[in-house]
Amino acid sequence: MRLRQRLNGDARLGAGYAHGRHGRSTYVAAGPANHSARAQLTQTAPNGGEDELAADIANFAQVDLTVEVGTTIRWTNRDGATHTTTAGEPGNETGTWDSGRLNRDESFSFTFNEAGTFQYFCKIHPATMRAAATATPTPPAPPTAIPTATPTATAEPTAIAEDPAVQSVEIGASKDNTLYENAGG
Amino acid sequence: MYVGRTNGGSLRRALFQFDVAGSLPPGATVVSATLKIRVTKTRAEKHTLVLHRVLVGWGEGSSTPSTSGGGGGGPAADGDATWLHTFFHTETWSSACGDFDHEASAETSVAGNPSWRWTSEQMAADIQQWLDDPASNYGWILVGNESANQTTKRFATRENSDEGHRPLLTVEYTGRRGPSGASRSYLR
Repeated sequence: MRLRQRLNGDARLGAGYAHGRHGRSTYVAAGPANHSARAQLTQTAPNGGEDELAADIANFAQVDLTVEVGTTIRWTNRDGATHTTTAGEPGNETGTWDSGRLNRDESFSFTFNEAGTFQYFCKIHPATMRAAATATPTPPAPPTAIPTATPTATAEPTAIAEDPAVQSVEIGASKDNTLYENAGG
Repeated sequence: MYVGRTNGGSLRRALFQFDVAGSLPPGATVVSATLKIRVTKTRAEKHTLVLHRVLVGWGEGSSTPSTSGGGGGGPAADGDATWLHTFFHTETWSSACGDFDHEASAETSVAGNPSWRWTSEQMAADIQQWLDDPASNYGWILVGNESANQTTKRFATRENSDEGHRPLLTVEYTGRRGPSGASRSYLR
């Protein structure tokens, strides 16, 4: 299933609030660093699980982003020129992510599972292509039950919250081999 | 990789291993598992290929098939799994090519090209075990129709030049989120 809501703007994108199949992501696109450039954000739920926002790299611009923790951003290079999305600042890469060289229509995805503000830039055009991605904590779920009149003992909080959403991961083989009867290998 | 019995009557079996513990967050609950592999050469007849959980460690050396098409294999290199060895030439299977759970994890009837999938609750249970106890992860062995000649099917390996043809395990799970970057991927 692919849930899609497209926001797009020219110099500035408005704040949005969208619902995915299994969750909800707040996204605010404050506009590309280069305000004359055009940028797009697209929300998708590609795997029936994680929310995903698609951010186009276009017209030599990176976009400032604000997302909830757990959101995946997919950057796609729409320019004819090669770009990167690289965490950090020119001369001070953090290593949090680095797409490597993205040619036209190539994409790179990264999931923000920790809150914080992450500067990022294009290593090929560091002077002009800089932006920031801010991951905010997921808001608490709304109450689902009305409290009883008589207070009851509360359960011990669990140390680690379980995520009920079904997530998916693809794993390539780390080893494979053929066993040949009556052969050398 | 080859699975089945060749024209000359020799058996072929394929081994796969996946880094489950390095790909899923600890404490996750596995919901489903699907293995997709791609046929690259076969006769048209359909044969059932059965996946079993391997019970001992095995190696992948640097050997490459020396015969045309790779069906005849080639000289084993140090560390290779072979019909007799788990690690050539120092460790052997307890019985020739036999240290796997004889209870099937999954089976699929495979005909011609292109890709085929194995999925089952037992495969999900195998993955869960490998996540909870990574030391027990020795992967799966794929066993074909060994009752007749000319049943061999060739599959793309993880070294295939086309990334989309390589063996791929898809796992659905619930539970803790992984560290940042766990979902990193390239898409085109």
